[in-house]
This record gives sequence, C-alpha cells and structure tokens, in this order.
Amino acid sequence: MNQSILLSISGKDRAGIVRDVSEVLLGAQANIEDSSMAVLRGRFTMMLIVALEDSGLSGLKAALAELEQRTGLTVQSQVLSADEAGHIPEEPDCVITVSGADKPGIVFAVTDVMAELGVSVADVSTRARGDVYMMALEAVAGDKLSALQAKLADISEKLSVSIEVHQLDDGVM
Amino acid sequence: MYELLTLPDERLRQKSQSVIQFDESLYKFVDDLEQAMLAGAGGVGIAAPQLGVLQRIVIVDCSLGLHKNKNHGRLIMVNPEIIAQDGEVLGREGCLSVPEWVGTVPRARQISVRYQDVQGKAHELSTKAFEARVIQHEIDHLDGILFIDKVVSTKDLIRRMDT
Repeated sequence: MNQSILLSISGKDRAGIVRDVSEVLLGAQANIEDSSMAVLRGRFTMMLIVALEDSGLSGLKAALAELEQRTGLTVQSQVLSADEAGHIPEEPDCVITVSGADKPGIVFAVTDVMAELGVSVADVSTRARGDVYMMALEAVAGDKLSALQAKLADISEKLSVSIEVHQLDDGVM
Repeated sequence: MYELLTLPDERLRQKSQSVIQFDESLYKFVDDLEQAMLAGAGGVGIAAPQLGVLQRIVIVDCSLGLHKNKNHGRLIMVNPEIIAQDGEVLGREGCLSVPEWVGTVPRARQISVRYQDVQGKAHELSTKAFEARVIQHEIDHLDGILFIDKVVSTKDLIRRMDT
C-alpha cells in the first residue's frame, strides 16, 4: 500500500536546496507528487506531498533526519489520511488584487469579509516595498461574487486602497 | 479519423502553415475538426494542429460555454490574424490537448480578427471578453503556443502590479 506524506521544509535560501531534498527523497523511494516552494527575502520554504510504500516510512524518516543534520534545513513530516490525500481543492473563480499605501489591517480587512461570506482563499501573495503594499488573492467565490464585490468596495474606500475583483471566466479550448 | 493530440506531442509545438487551397478537402477537414471539438467535454474551441494538421484553421463556438456569454455562435476561421487588441483581463483556461490542467491566463480584453471563411472570403470581426479569450487561445495553437506557457501565479500578478 502507498501512503501520502506531507513534508514542510524551510531554511536559509541558497542554490541547491531542491536538489538536496529531491536526492534524499529519491534515495528513500519517495515519489514527489504535488509540491510548491517560495522564497521570501532570504528564506526558503517548500511543501511537498510524497507517495511512499508503507514499508518505506522509517527509512524516509531516517533520511530526512540526516538531511536536517547535514544541511541545517528544518524538515517536518506528517502522514496524511486517505481523505486528506485524496482531497482536490476547488478551482478559484476570481482574482482579487489590492494595492495602496501600506497600513496595518489590509490583509485582515479583505480576508475578514471573505470569511464572513464563506469564500475560500485558494492562493495569496503579498508584498511590502517601501510605502507600497500589494496583495493578489485567488478565491472560490461561487454565487457570493457580487456580495463580495460590494463589501470589498466598502473596504477600498475605508482603507483608501485600490481593490480590483477579476472574475475568471473559464472554458476548455 | 483524426486523433486529438495531447501533450507532450511535438506537433502541438510546431507552427502551422497558411491555407492556400479552399476546396472539398478543406470543407471535409473543417467538419472533422468540428466533430472533434464537440466530442471533447465542454469544448468551446479547437485548432487544426490539435488534430496533427499543421494548417491555420480554428473553430470557436462560445455558445457551447458553461456560462452565459455574448458571442457570435460558431465561427470557422481560416488564416486568422489579430489586427488590433486592447486591455487585459484574467481568465481561467483549460485545453483539450492539456487534459486535467487549468490556469489563470492574462489576455487582451478586446480584439479585432481578420480571417477567411472556408470559401476563402475575407472577414473582420471585433469581439471582447470570453469569446476574445477563446480566439486568442486558438490562434496561439497555430504558432505552437499553449496556455500553460502564459499561466500567471499570484506572485506574477504582484510583479505585474509593480510595473
């Protein structure tokens, strides 16, 4: 039987981290399925879902401990339940972009109205550079889209930041 | 019968040739192309190279879209060319030739296209929103470009806002 394991790996950014991680995983016969990495300033972080034969778990854990020792990376691993491993998140149907002068509470104000409407964040990135703050969010709004647009318009005014909601039409072409 | 090509078939990456003969064999191929589009789940457009035929022919029919949208119905476009474009909007795209994948792609909001019909008669069409997106996606196929080449992430969006 195969199992799915979630790995979270972080550390100081340098060339060769993904190589080091994938080498260890290959050696432990763990197959990389979904993964995502990000670099924020000088820090690297990635999460991966790997598939592995049940019998390989202790070998993988030992290999990851060795990786931590050798490279100074922090590695956390977690065995996923079949439910979690099989869950495919809904595709986003809108993109929200926010930009304006940096001030406390922009992310909270935007995500607070989303949560209130039950609109899930599929992906989010933010960036602060000097006085300028930018945020891009992918969300699953469904039939809450127009309610969301109205509430975000209020926030835009209150915080004097510009907020745009782009509805994503989709099709198979 | 033609087979619908999927990645990583190299023919999807080649540039298609202009159509110069408007004859029976073209009519016949356009029928086959349309059948292939209708056979794919939720298909609103198809380009000849998706069947391995490297000719500049696309079919678009946004009336088949899952969401209500303004459109010109079925459009058969031979040698299509975008002659003007304006604005930028984001949309979510999928492709019969890239099954199981979708991504957010920026496209011009509004386009004007010059093309020929199956008889070789020239036409011009201006359209916007969803139909404009589908036409741009299909014309890209004629140049070996797939939507996955143009997908943007939230990180990319921030980079674009910054410029």
